[in-house]
Amino acid sequence: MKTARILAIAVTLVVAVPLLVLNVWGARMSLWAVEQTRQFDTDTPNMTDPAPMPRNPLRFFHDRGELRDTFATDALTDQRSIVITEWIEPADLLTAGEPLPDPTHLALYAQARAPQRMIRYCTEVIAAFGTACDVMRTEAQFPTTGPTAISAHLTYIPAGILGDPDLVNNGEFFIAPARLYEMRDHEKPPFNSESRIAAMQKAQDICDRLRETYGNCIVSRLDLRPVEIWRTDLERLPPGTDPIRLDATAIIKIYADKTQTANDDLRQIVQSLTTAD
Amino acid sequence: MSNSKPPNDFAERLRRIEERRTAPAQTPAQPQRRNNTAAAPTDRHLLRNLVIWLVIGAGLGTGGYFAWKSVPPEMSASFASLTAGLDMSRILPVNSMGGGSWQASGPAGAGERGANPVTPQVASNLPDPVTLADLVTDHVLTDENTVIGQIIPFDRNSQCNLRRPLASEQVVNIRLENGTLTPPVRAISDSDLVKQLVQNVTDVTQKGRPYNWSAQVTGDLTSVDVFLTDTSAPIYLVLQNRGNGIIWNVQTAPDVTLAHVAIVTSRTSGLVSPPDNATFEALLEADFVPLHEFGADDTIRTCMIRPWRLPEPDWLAVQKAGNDNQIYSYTKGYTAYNAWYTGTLGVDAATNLVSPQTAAHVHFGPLPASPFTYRSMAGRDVHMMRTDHMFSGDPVTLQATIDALHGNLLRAATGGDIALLDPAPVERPQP
Repeated sequence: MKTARILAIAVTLVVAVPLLVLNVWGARMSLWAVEQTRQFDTDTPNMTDPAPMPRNPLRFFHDRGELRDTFATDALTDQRSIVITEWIEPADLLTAGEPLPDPTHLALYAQARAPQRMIRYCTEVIAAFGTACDVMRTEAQFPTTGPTAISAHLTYIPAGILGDPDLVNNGEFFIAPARLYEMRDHEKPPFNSESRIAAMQKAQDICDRLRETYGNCIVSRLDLRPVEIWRTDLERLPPGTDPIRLDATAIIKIYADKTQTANDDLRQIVQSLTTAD
Repeated sequence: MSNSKPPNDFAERLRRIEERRTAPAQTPAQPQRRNNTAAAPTDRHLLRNLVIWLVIGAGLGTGGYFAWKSVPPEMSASFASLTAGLDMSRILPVNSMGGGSWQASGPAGAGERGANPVTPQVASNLPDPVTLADLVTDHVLTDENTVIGQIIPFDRNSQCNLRRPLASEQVVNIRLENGTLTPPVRAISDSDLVKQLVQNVTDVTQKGRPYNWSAQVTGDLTSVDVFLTDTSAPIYLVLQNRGNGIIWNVQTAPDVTLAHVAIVTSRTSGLVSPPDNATFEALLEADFVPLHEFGADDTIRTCMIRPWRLPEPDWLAVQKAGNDNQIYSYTKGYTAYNAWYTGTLGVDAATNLVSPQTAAHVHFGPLPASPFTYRSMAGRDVHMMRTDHMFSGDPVTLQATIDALHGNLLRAATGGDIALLDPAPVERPQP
């Protein structure tokens, strides 16, 4: 009988406690959503930064894996990625002398050849800041007009020192975006290998500066995508100007004491470091 | 209002407890036999048991789900075939079977959407049950080992019309979902092949899964025998189905004239060389009608050639639906289809209709005075609606052809080596 009671209590705890926690979190989420909705429903919406979403109480389990994958130096993980997009014509998919396939097969060719085409960018990642790089996933998109867009998520092992997250008390992840080329399109660098490597190094430089303050830092994601200069801008530029320019946005991630760190502060620091050059 | 009690009440309880504790020990009570049937309150722990069983159930359900997901596809297909043997239609009472009279006796059974007569039963227009022996002799059913003659492709109609029946002709109307014989023929379109390969490739390149060689387009077809015994007028035969493509094997009794065959189908279908050198033509649903979505066929419109079947009271789906509107699409779809059918052929889509859900053999006309000789598909040419890949052979040859189709296109798409779908990581050279 005693065993049964202990078992009942244990089972109840196992079931009830998470349910209770999730219910409290659900209620907080509801209140947050109502508040957000109210702000946007008013005639004069509050344009300040929205209140942060309540933290999932079960996120602890997720954070363990994220922490391991973010700072792993012996494995390629999905916590560090370079996302590169390129625009291509069907002929770009083919080897020299290879005939164009049936147009109905082009989608298959693009999906099937994307990994081998995009892994070439790994040499740039390694040249900039990685010791190893792999294609994590690729996608090919076919707009009704214009070229095919192929994008790849490359994962990498950073070459530099990442910092030790074990030294952090009350640790929590904080992220901040860094728009590396926040300027008019025609002022951005061309979408070439040199510019992409420079963008990676610029993101790494920001991270290195942050590491001096927080003890660790990772470029968790860097988006490198082409933008096309407007025709009217192009007409004012020298003939032969490359119309495809590079737009780059990095997501900088640190693991810091949540009692002493605020997302807004981190964003401001990253912003100032990005525009410092 | 207060729930406090007088202090002396508590003191009294303390006194009673102390008195009981200091009292001399009594003779232990004799154990009583538990009366499980008594209505007296018992220590049942309903809530505790409920929680335990909920946890166990959730665990089993979760474990079972992932276990099922981990079962190899070929094994799950085996399970499916085992459960198929427990077809509900075979254990239903006779009076719940749907369709015409041919399934009202014997084990033919009804499906969700009408009758499903099985060999030797024949779906017929006649009120009494008809079997193969009533119609033909020496029947050799088509199966995957049947060796046919040539596959002769023909172009389907580019316009949404059919030859208009002559006044002297009688329109005979066969409409079903699927055949149940297995012909040794496959038909695969390039678009289906590419769609499947794109799915397989993106499973590798986007989800990181190993390439799944068993995920293939197989181009399965079914086959149906059509027996015509009506000699009253030349027959204009309309063969319609919604489901896998069907190879129709039309056979006529002596003195029956087959004037024309019109096929309306949702998938690539074919026709064994018809008797009397009858002319034939075919409409493919996808050429004129987009894929069906709920409500798409609610309105009558030009060229609505999706061959819906009118729900009958003895369909299980109708009986289960009751007053609900669960077969709304069928009713509305049939109305729209009938409008096109009537406008094109000049007769209502219910005229001279034989319409099981599935069948191996269909018959129209009176019973013949004596059975005529069955004409197998073996050795005969099959006219197929043209598509990119059509082939026949024994099961091993068919599978080898399917493998080659997938493998060749996949290799061409990757540039020769399928391992390139997942290239090796690049590492910084060691100094």
